[in-house]
Amino acid sequence: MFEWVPFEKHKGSWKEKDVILLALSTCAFCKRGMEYLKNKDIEYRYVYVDTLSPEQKKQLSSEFKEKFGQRGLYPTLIVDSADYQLGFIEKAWSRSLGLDS
Amino acid sequence: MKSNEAKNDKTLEDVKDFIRRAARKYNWAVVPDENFMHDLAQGLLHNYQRFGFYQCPCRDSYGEREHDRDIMCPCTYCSDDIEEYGQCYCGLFLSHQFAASEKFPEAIPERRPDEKFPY
Repeated sequence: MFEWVPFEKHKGSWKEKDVILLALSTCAFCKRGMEYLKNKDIEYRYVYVDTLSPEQKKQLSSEFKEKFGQRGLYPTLIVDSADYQLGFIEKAWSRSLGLDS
Repeated sequence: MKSNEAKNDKTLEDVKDFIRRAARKYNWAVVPDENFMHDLAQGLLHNYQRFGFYQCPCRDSYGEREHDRDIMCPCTYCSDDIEEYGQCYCGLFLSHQFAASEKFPEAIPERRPDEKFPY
């Protein structure tokens, strides 16, 4: 899934899971989500979907729907290509990442 | 033919004024966290500059006025979201009760119908 997407990588020391973030460059919740990942020192890949071409957006949306059965919203956190969270809710992200104590 | 038109005639302060005026008009509160408000104002300004209108910064869509009227800020769904959740989809506009609670906005369900999205 998403092998073709031009992800940027944010480096971190926590690499236990494959973490992908679908974000918008204009979205404040996306920024808060990225700050959360940074504060936890989590390595992740991200893409600002609003900067993709219409064809790329369509393909990304199609792949997400095929995998998860619904539309991706922003931010969307994808963990190990299996679990996902729509929107930034800190407790839910921590749970998906296995970081809740 | 696309009807969006890039514009460069507004400043960040103009956008913040627009946000405050909209809140006054509809009797909402603006999110008290200044950094969060600043980020949303930046997002609105960026969308204004590339599309020519204040498209919601938390949704991706056509970037075309005739398709995206429902998500021009403040969006069509704002009042219902504030009534149900105390906040709009972006967390920019709040009910006065929510603003006084010192809770921070977080993600709420998307109310925009699926058929409104371009992809």
